[in-house]
Parts: sequence; C-alpha cells; structure tokens
Amino acid sequence: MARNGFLFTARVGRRPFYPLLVAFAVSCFLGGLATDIAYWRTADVVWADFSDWLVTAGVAIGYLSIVVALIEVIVLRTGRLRRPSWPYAITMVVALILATFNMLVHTRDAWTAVVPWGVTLSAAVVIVALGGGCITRETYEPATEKVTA
Amino acid sequence: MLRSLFRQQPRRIAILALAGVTTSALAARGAESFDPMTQVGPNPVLPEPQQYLFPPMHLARVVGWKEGEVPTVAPGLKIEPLAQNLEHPRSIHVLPNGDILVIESKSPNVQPVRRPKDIVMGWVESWVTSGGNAGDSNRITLLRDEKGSGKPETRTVFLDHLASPFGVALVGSDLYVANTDAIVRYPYTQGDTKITSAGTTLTPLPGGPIDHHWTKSLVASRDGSLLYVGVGSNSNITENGMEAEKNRAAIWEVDRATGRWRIFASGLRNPNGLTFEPESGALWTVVNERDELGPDLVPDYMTSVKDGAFYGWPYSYFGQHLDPRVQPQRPDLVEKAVVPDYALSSHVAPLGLAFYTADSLPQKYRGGAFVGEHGSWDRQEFNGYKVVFVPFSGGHPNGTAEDVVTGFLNANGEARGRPVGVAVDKTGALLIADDVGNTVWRVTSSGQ
Repeated sequence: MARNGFLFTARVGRRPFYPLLVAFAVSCFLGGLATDIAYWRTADVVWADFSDWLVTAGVAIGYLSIVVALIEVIVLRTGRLRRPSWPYAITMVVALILATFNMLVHTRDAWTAVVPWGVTLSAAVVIVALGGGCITRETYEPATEKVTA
Repeated sequence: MLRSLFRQQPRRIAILALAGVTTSALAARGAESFDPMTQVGPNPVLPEPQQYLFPPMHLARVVGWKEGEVPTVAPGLKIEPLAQNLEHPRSIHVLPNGDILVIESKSPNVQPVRRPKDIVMGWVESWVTSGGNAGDSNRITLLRDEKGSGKPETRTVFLDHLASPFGVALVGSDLYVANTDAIVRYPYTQGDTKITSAGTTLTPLPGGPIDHHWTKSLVASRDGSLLYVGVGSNSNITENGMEAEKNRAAIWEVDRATGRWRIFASGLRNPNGLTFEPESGALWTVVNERDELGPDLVPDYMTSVKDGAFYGWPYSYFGQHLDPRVQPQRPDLVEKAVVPDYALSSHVAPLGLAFYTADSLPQKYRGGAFVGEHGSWDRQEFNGYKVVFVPFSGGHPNGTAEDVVTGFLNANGEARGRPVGVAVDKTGALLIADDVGNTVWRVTSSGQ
C-alpha cells in the first residue's frame, strides 16, 4: 500500500500524464503557426514576439513530455505498453527536432525570424505533429489493470 | 534550455551551430580566415550577409587589472593610470582650466523582456560588461592634476545621482550633462570641484522604457549656440518595432537658448564620440553598426555628419546594401543613403573619438583621430579592444588605422579592461576611460 501512496502523483486518474503534455506542446505549435502567419501578413513585431514565446514554450513542454513519458512507461509502468507505437514516437520526436530548429530561427531579429523559414518550419511542425496524432492508437492501459490482471 | 546552451564555451556553441545548419556554420568557419584589416578604410570589403541558428559569439570574461599591470602602447609612448577604483568610467571631458571630468555610468537597465531571447541576451550582456559592480556609478568624478604630472592631487565627486550620463559640454558658465533621458544644465564657475545645484532640464531625450542604446554623446557648436547629441537606436535591427525607433538612430541639433531640437542626421544606428574635426570644422562621429549578419558584417565606422543626411539604418548599410531583416523596406530612403567616410572593421564597437591638436605626443599623431574600440562579442575572433589612431589630412582620413593602445585582453582572451571614451588633457596627453577596468589611463610621450 505504501508503494501505491508513493506513486500516487504519477497516477492521476490512473492514466499517464504525458499525453496531456504532448497536447499542450502541439497547441503551442499550432498557436505559433497562427501568429507567424499574422506577422508575415502584417510585419507587426508583436506577432513575432507571440510566436517566439509559443514556439519556445512548445519546445520546453515537448522535451518535458519525453522525460515524463519515459518515467511513466519505463520506470513507473503507469502506462504499460500493450505494444510499442514506434511510428507515433518517431513522428513526434521528428516534430520536436523541427520545432527546436524553429525556436532557434525565431531568435533572429525582425523579419527573417519568421519569413521565410520560421513560418515554414512552424507549418511543418504542425503537419508532422498532427500526422503523428492521427496514427496514434491507445498504447497504454491503466496501471491498475496490470495489478488485477 | 537556450540559456543552458549559451552557458557553454563559445567554441562549443560554434560546434552546435555546425551540427545545426551546416551551410551557415561552414560560412562562419570560412570567415575566420577573413582579414579584418580589409574592412579598415574608406572602401571596406563587404561579404554576403549570413544568418544563423546560433550567431557566432565570443565573450571576454572580465578579470580586471592586477597590481602593476598596464596596457601596451605603440613605440614612443608610455602609459600610466591616472585614476583607479572608479565605477565604470565611460567618458572623459576636460574643462578649460585642465580639470578632468570622468563620467561614470551604467546602463539604465529598463529593457523589458519582450521575448525569450531578451532573457538570454540580458544575461550575455551582464557577462561582458560586468566587473566594477558600478554600485556608486552614475556620477561624475573630478580629477585635478595642476602640475600635469599624471598624479592628480585632488579627486572629488563633482556631480552625483545622475541618470546614466555620458556626454558633457561646457558653454561659458553653463555645463550640460547628457543623461540617457535628458540634457540637464548646471551652473559652473571655473575652479568648482563640486556642483550642488539640482540642474535644469534643457531638452528631454528618448530614454526608457526600452532604451537599448542608452549612451547620449554631446558636443557644443564652436559658437556655443547649438548642441549636438547622439541618440542610438532602440534595437539591433527594429525587432522592438518601428514605433520604438521614433527620433532615434540619429544626431539631434538642440538650440541651446530654447531647448528646441530637430533631427540633424539620421540612419546612424548608435552614434557616439561626437566631435568637430579641427581643420574642416565638420561634425564627426563613430557609429556602432548592426549585429547578427555574420562575423564580418557590418563594419563599424567613423564619418563626417552632413546636415539632413541619412546613413542607412535600419534599411541598408554602407550605402545601398539592403538588410534582409527589415520589412517593410523603404527604397526611397535607401536610394539616398550616404556611404560613411571610413570603416573601422566589424564589431570593434567604437565609442570614443578625439582629434589630436596638441603637440606633446610624437609628431605623427598631430591632426589625426584617436578612436576607443570597446571590442567585439558577436564574432569568434576578437576584434577591437584597443585604441587606434586614424591619420587625417585636409580634414579627411588619410591612411590606415594603426594600434596605439592594446593589451586590454590578456593571453587567455579575458578582458582586463575595455576602452571607451578618449580625450586629450591640458598637457597634450591622451586619456582613455576603461569601463570594466575601472581606470582612466594616461598616455604620454616616452621621450619626456
């Protein structure tokens, strides 16, 4: 029982936490694409600043989601893998690598932080991440099932 | 994440960039063989602009001067500290009676964090300008060396509690201090060692809330009726929006009687060292050009300043070379952009300029200009970190700049000091404000 208590925080709702973080990251990338497009159309730097925060936050949460996923799947076995979903994992990692480049492009000053490569990478990240979301299946089951199984 | 990457040694950053975009990183590597001296003179070599995932950076950690250490001077010269233990001295003004005003100043630090990069750059800048915690800075110290021996017998706090001051000009009994946000007038009587008056604001200047380039250089016209003040841009290259650049990147002409002002010249990204060339009587300035287009772009420069002229920033550099980062462009302005007179090489960061009209230094220095180069941070190989001499003849630069005072970096590439403002004292000695070295250096002829 003590062991269950120790693991409680990682078992909120008895489902793994990392998919929520992935959703946050992808939302940031989607928002960043929108603000990139707004900057491209208006040249108003306020949109480029929004993009900068969104893309950076998305990257930070993205890496956090990998760490949390590894802890949950391998260490805590919260989301015991029914079978590995390699296409999903690889697609999401590719999206995150592209987003990391995008974050660095966004550190440039003024126009070339976004046009042409910033907005292009933002679009690529969103397309790849949404593609990854489409091919994903439910790859985990609640840990309690493992206990009762 | 970014922050931790920037914490790496610069060479590791270069390696990361190499792993990143090979094309631009390879260009950065190739550029290390570029000779910075090809960018000294009226016709600098201008490579193609490069943009990076990680711009090449190399920061000189500040270590300060050890007891007895001094910079290196050219043959025929010697150097000694005139005053030490100052708090971030940035510029020097010599009064008619020979008293030396040392303007100690620190950044207003009012730049808001608009985006993640600002957090990183704030940290980077604190690294390269640290040393001299500048606790009691933002004041003017008076040094009196009546015997001209280089050992001042009097040292007083002349004016205190200023707002990031830089330029000083005296007209009759009116002493003007260019704070970062206003030109303030004080009553001055020859021989004063301290001013207690609160001062009167003549003209507000563009200061906060961003105040990216905050040093306001100041000089009075020969007849004393006008003041010229340098107002630097509020960004590297408009990344804070064009509204933030209103009336900036310009030299203002201020009517001394009324405080009324107009833009005298524009397109000057960060103009400092305003002074009149003695032979032609023309106004000259040194200008810090833009960053992050590569280690060899854009060369900083010195130039005579023509009334009404536009010098390119932000739209173009050295005439009609367009900056790809600025939108919307302004072809009408680019078309009339004036090419500066004399390039000083990329990222050397000139902040001080003084023409030599005295006669105690060797003959070859007479009539030419001394330039204080604060030194580079956004290129791999250091550039600047020295005082150079540009020979003049007939009111124009005539010849290649040569090193006069070097050795501000030690063998490990650490900064013992960094030169900023330069001036000539009543004996004809060259004075150099060294901000992170917290020293004013005095260069004299070794024959004396």
